[in-house]
Amino acid sequence: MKLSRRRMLWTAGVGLGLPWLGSHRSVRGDERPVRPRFIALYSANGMHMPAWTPADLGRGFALSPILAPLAELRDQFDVFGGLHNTAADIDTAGHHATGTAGFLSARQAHRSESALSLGVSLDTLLDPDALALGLDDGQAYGDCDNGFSCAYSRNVSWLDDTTPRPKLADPQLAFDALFSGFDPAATAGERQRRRVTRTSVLDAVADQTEALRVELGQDDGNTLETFLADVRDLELRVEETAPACDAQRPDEVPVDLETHAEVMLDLIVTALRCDLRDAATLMLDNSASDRVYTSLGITRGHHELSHVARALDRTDDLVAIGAWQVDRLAGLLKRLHDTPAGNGSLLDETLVLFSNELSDGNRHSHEDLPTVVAGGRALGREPGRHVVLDADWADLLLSLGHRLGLPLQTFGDHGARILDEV
Amino acid sequence: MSSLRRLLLVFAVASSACDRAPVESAPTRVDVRPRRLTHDEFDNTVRDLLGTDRRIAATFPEQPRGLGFDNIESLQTSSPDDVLRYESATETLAREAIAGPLACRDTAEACLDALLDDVVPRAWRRPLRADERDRLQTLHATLLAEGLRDDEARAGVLQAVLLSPAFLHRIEVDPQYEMASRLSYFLWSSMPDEGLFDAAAEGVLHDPATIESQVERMLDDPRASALVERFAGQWLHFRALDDVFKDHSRFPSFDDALRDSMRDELDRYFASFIHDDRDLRELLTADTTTVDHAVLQLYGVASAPFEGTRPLDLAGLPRRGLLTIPGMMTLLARPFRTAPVKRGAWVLSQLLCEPPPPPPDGVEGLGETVDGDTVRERLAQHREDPACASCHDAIDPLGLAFESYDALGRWRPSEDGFPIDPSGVLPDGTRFADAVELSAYLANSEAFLECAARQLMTYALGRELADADEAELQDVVSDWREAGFRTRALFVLIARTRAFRGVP
Repeated sequence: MKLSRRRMLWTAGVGLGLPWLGSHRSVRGDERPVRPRFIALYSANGMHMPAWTPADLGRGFALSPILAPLAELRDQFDVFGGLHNTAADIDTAGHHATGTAGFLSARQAHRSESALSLGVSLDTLLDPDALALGLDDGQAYGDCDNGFSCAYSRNVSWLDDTTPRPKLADPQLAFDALFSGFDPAATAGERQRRRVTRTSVLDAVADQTEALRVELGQDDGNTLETFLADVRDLELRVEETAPACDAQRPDEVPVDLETHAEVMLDLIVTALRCDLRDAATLMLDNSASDRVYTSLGITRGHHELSHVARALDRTDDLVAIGAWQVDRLAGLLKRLHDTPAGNGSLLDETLVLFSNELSDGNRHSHEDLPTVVAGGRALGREPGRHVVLDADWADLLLSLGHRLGLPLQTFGDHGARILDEV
Repeated sequence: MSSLRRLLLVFAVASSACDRAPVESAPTRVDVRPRRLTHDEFDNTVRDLLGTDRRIAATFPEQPRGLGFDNIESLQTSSPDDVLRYESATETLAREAIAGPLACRDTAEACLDALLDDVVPRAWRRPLRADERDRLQTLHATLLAEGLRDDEARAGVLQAVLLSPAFLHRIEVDPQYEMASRLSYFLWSSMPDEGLFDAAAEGVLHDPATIESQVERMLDDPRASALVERFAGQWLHFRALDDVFKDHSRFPSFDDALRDSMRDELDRYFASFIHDDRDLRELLTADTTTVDHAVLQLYGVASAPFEGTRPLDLAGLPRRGLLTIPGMMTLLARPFRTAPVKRGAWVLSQLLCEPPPPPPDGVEGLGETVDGDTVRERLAQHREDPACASCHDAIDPLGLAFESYDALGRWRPSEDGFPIDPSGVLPDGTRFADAVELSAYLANSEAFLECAARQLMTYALGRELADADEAELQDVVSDWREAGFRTRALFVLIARTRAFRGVP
């Protein structure tokens, strides 16, 4: 792989050595038996914790109602308790935004409607081109959470301190991003012809951008410089030969939620299976989502329910929503488990994190976040336990990064402890 | 902070416990980077440039929002995948344009000249420089040398034009042409037309009289409907109707057709203020609206079915203005029931620019098992808690005034057999009998008029108001008062500010 300007900027920004990054993508198949990968599934509004937390600890714990969909995957995942996201725990309102912003950054979001500041997310550290997917774009009106820009509520993947990675809800856009606009079904000749045209056009755009940049003199905020770097980056991607991989461009956004989730999970598996990406995130909903789960026979919005379910004696609805989310996780784990990689399955090489912006949604609690970490048997893990860690969320992310082979000493605002259990 | 002081002045909230979440103070210095077209602006611009109805950018991932709008420049971010999406979109648009509206049967050279002379300056919204023209000609030659047909090569050139930051961004290289774009993207969310380009070429777009006549002309144009969709849609949350869900067993008549009818009524209503240059205070007090047959049912007016829309005189009906329009009451409600707190909070945040602080953690919300026969009684109960009362004393009277309209905006004198009392007392002692009286009070309040100006100025600038802008905002409000709060005057006044023109 050629290292683009953007990636070099990124590398400098996070202070990591080039050799590690350079070797990461270039080694394939037999040359390196294990290729660490990372997937995070995010959900909003907290969990009904009494129906989440298993009653007993260790191996062979009894599954709770919400975790029941994972029954067939008993030895593929751990349930972790006692994880507190202290970076997200602010004194005043805005907990949905900070919980979401801190999900993969373990940083405290800067409260502003117009100036973003957070930190790079774990998926980006593993793969600067990580795939960011979601099931909802988000509402096109209103504010999001008490003075926090909606950018914090709609994204968990961050390129750097100030740049959220736009998450894709449209499977076709996601597919095109994965294959850099190439049709994997096209013949080599067709692709070559298209590649030449694209390169010429992108070259001309780069030249024009550079001329404008020179003419303008100062480039406040480096808008043109960033654009130029992004154009050059795309040029490199266009020149790279996409791997031969059996994959089909999906249909348009499915109408029903379940099908949409299936298509997105398939895309994530394709991205990993075809070595197109090493990291992916899927937001099952947006921060404080008020989605109405009609397919579960629920008629109230999820966020509203997270506050009134107890008063209305409707906690069953929260349990059903939690189990629905865990069922998506189960679907992902099964797919990964059924996909061969190296000497085992893709799941063995992958760490899958499932958690939420909050634990108790009604109290906006960041303590004891409902957490599953699955997979990673080829990365030295032996999952299948329920463990109470009593650690910071940042420690978990640091430990996951460590397990993925990232040379991290600290992570986020508070992560300094590598947890052996992880 | 000053906003809290205003809240105290307007509603004389007694307790300081109703404190706001900490908000950053306004920036004192403003860096204006080249702003990128929003998705709407991209689609509108290719529509006006190439005559296509395709709205490709509408499928792109949403842009980060802040301050209530999606055009906030400081939140515009860029990634390689963005460029990939633009590349893909512009490839399609260029190919279709060259095959369709820009088809050319002349010599290859003449066809290219036509493209470079007629289309590219409009795409870049300014005259083309010689080196830029040369570069595009070089690209054309390169593509021909690579074996492309002439029309394919021209499509490649057009694609490079559309993928250039000169198209995707608004870059200030000429103050006159930039002012043309500022006006067109403010009022049309699209590119300038010939009238603006001509004025820029004449160099008269700094002249206050010219700005006024251009704004007036532009507001007469159908493209000004972008203000309804984008400005009112975001300021007043009209767009929320598109996401509204209602419990079917309680509201069987609510379907997509009725939702569309409601949205159309709101859009027409707001558009009339621009079209007819109405006094914006009437937004909250008007006694007419225009409805189709489906919405008319919600007004409780018996009528034989009819096609299209008709004016409806609200005299004799318990309704006046925006806040009693069924679509508004529908989007400010919940799937099951009305939402007085939501309605009250909306009035505070959107009409008075004083968003109430969030409830303390652990508040259970207004459950239906709480004792009390009406929502009013249940709300009164939780106001007995001082921690709640400090804010809800301001929120609840505003919201409860609208309890006479159900979750579809239908008037109702009672709820479950218990009479509804829409009267209230504001913290400053002002008494009102119902939503109509409250609306009249709000319409004439300083806070509403300044808030309307603030919302439009934020939208026009696409950024948080800085200190210098705040001073100009006060001038705008003062001049607007002298203009009798005519709607168009507000657009003219904002277009004339130094902040809008980018003049220090």
